[in-house]
Amino acid sequence: MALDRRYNGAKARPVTTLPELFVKQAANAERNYVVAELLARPLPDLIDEARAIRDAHWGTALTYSRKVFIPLTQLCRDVCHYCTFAKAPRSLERAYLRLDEVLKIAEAGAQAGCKEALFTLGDKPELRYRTAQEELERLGHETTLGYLAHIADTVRKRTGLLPHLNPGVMTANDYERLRPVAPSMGLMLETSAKRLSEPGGPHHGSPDKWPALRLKSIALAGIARVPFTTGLLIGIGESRAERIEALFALNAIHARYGHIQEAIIQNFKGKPGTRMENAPEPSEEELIWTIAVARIVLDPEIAVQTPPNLNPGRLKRLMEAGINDWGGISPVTIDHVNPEAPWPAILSLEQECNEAGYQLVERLTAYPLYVRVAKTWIDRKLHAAVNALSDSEGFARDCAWSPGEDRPVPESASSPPITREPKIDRALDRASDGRRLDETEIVTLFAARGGAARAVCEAADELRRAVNGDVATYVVNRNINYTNICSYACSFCAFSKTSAKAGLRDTPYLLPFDEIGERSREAWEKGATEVCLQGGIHPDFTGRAYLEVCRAVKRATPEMHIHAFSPLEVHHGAETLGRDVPDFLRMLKDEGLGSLPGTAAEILHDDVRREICPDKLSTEEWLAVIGAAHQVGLPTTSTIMFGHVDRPHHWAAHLLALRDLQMETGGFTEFVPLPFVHMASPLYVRDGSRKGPTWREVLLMHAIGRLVFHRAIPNIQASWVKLGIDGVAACLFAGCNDLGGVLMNESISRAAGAAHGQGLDRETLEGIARGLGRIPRQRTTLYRAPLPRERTACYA
Amino acid sequence: MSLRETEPAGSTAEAVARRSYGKLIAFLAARTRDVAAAEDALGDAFAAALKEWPVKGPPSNPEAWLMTVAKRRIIDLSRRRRVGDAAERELTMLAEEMNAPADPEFPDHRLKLMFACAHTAIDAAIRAPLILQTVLGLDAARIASAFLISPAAMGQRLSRAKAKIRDAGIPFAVPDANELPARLEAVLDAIYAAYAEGWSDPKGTDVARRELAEEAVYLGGLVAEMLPEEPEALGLVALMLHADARREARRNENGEYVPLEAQDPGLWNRPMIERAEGVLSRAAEFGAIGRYQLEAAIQSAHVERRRSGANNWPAIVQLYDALLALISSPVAAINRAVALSEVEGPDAALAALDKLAGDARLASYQPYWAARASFLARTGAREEASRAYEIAIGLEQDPSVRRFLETRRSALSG
Repeated sequence: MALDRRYNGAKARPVTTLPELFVKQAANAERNYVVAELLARPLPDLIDEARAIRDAHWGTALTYSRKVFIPLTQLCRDVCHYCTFAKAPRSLERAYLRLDEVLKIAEAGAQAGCKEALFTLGDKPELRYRTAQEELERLGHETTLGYLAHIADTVRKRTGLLPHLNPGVMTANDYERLRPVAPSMGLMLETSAKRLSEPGGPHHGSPDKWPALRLKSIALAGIARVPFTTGLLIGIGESRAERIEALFALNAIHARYGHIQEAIIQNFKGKPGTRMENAPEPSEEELIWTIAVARIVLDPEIAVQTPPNLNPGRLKRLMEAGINDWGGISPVTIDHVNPEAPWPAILSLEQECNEAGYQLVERLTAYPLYVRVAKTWIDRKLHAAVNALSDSEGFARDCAWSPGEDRPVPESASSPPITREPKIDRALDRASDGRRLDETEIVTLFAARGGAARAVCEAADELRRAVNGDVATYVVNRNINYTNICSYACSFCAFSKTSAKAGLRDTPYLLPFDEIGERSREAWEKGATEVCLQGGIHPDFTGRAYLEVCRAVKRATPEMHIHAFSPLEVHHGAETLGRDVPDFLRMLKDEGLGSLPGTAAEILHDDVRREICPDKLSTEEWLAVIGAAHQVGLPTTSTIMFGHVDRPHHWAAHLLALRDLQMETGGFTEFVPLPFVHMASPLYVRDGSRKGPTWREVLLMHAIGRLVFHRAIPNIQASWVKLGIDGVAACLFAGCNDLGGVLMNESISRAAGAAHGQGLDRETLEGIARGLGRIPRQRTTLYRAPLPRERTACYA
Repeated sequence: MSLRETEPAGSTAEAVARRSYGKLIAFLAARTRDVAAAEDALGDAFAAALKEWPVKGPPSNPEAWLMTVAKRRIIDLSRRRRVGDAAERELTMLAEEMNAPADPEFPDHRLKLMFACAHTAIDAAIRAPLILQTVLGLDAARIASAFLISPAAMGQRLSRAKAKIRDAGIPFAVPDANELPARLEAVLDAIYAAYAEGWSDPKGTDVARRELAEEAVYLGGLVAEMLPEEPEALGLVALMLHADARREARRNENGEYVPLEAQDPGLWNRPMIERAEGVLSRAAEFGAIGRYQLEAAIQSAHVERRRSGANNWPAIVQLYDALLALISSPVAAINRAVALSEVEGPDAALAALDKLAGDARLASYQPYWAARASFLARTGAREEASRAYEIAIGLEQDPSVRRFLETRRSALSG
């Protein structure tokens, strides 16, 4: 977390001593040298370097934010000679938009899939216009910023849209006050050339356009830890060298505080009705030159943005020159600062990106770098709102779909044509050779989007075909969740109940052992070959209880395969009997246990476990129990429960931990991704986690599981309980070969709000497989062919 | 504080020699470009003066007297060497020039002489001795002893260089503005090389060396005076003054080596530091940094603790960064690592040293191993530190510094 370290509130000491004087002179000399060098370099050369920097740091992603534009007030105390946004009071009915008007815009935006409410407004109009002052009083606010804070907060609470605020030059207090209502703010530097504020310059008479004042305000945003948007307005009379100076100034502030998330390179447009209506607009060359130089000069982690609506017909050139962001794009409102320029439809923008070899990726108003370290950069009050809209990388969720919700999976993931990216191809090749990918490679695969994500899924599908052929297996089983009373308080779990009083949907229960036997007999009669037993960690249970459960099943159904007890239960059982884990596992095996579910793995990374299951087994303990099970001859499945507070690098570590153990023991039968179902989970409801993985992430988890585990774990399972039938169908083309169980009674996912039914009969399941061109085949828990009795019994 | 000011007044001839030698040589050689001939002629003129002045009493303008005799001598010498019409014509011109009435304030051509001596066509290693000899009149034997070269070899090399000036037609001129920075650098480098030779006598017991350092400061001052718009010349003077100000503090009363960080600021020559800071401030006004200004600024940062009680290590690191952007110097890179160890700790400093490991020169460079050893010691890697100290001790020639390193090494086990 470089950003955590970099942030410091230190103030610069005045230069006093000779050595410091020379330090400063040396810095100036270096700058002069760089300026001269940049000015001398031919444009194609600059473009090549800029593009290389962008490609290396931002890959093929070109981002945008889906937003609505809310011009809270168009009055402004400044008089910039190029502006049409600011209006004089007489031409407007009212100085400020009312809350209901704002909400109308915001709600329309939310419905159109927007995630940002961009508040752009004039700078402190109340200091210039009496009408503004009076209207603010009527609205019950002293200042425009006070009104803005109220409106922005209400918009976020009512619509979920994340406010981005552009209210002009702000003080430290202003930032403190607005930080809890907006995850990001902005102020264009425009230019660092003081002379443009002198008589005859476009900023003459605009007190807020003094470069020093704006630079100070931008720095104060850093001290307040506000992810910040700024940039240059080019072609208002500044020289190329002055633009470079402005970029240096921004870079210097960013080096100190790390908060500048993007720099907009905006080209001046001569607008009718302004004093600069007939001023020459900067040429395309000038714009391209500035973009390239900005990309070269600025810290690569600062995005370079150029608005597409001001540059129709030259988007390809902008991309070539090194931009990585288009800025906010509205499907609903016009751009009030440049009202004459219509926004390109998002779809056509996407097409242009694809044609140039890039992916259009939606981001939030705060960039991923800041969303990922929200603790440092975003006010606590906004974490849940930001997480609800973001994916594992900190980009915007690319669709409304969440696991367990009763809505069809999005189709777009499979529609774009496959694109090849060298880094991804290298990882895919290595995986196909059965090599162990490293964490970076896995993270690269998880970052694949659009056509590149398709390439990953296709590669996984190829491996599946090579290993498993076109057979799609399933097991007939019954889930028996013998108790929901649990002494653990894992924040993701909606199933466990700590006592009779608590409870969201289900009341606490504990099945009597006879009932367990009875349910097993029922299952056997219906053709099940397996009972899957898992439950909470009941405070009264000792290891005896687990042994009893096995006995109860075996008494009722001697041939039933018992698939039971997560490592947590095993650990608990061993501990309460004073046995070591391998001993206790042997005892369970002697009582008829056939295999273990590799659940309670959640994310095998202690950083995540500390957040979501602090009292559960550590990564090391979990692996130790599973390893011990394999050693005593009890195979297990392997799982991952993902899409909450975890990040791709955690996933990578998890997959590699499983793979490494498998290489040692060979005891894993299959890998089962379990997407986090958020709806009723305290982790989401109370702690504000993400809303489960996005559909792209779900597909990739199955596909990358296949790739990482190639020649290690032969079976990848898709869980229809969490994904629905259409979800499972899609996963069958992303590396999966197994459909899991024809379950009867599945309580855990349902408790978290999953809408998919409790059971799915095997005819339906087989029908699905056949419909997809796969050969359905029943299997036992350990992937053998069931005995003929079992098959016929099923239809008896 | 040059030799000239401290020397007790000798005979007038000697006094004039010290004060005017370079000026006379420069004037005589400026036209003929024949430094050796000018030296010979002036040598004869001095010999004549030593004979005549004690008898007849010194002339009212000794410089003019010497000049007249030397000019005549040059013409005689040239006449003896040359034959033919062309030579005759040249000699006539020469005679006219030489016989022009001696202006009591004849032009000072010493700067031109220095530029000729530090010309790119002259071997860089001989530039400093050449300047010392021609501008200051130091004899070859003294220069040789300061540069640890046999007098015969030094004499030969000086003669070759002078022949080169004459035969290659190296101009006696201050280069034009385009060329000046690079050419001036060569002059300053030569002066600094002379200073460094003198500085490397830590005890100050080797008179030749000590004088050399003082002569170098004088030469630097001369250049700065004659090129008042060149901040780098000021920077060099400030650098040399700063270093000289700490000369006494480099050894304790037992003659043992005391590293800079352990020196008692009370032993530093305060007036000299003030002078250095004054000169450096003047340089700073130009706002045009260069190698010597940066090195002087580093010295200035080191003596900050005189006032503030602490070194300004972050500034020192930044100044070394700036310096390393201008010149490639493994020595500066090692010193930067030392400063870095004070700012970011020994691990960062070791990493910085590791980046230099590709430079083969460092394997046999004592300060590299001493710095490495001290960083390793601070990380707790005693054995590795001890090995690095061993190498440093093995490479060091100065017994006092060796003893210092040995103390450090034995402190490891303590």
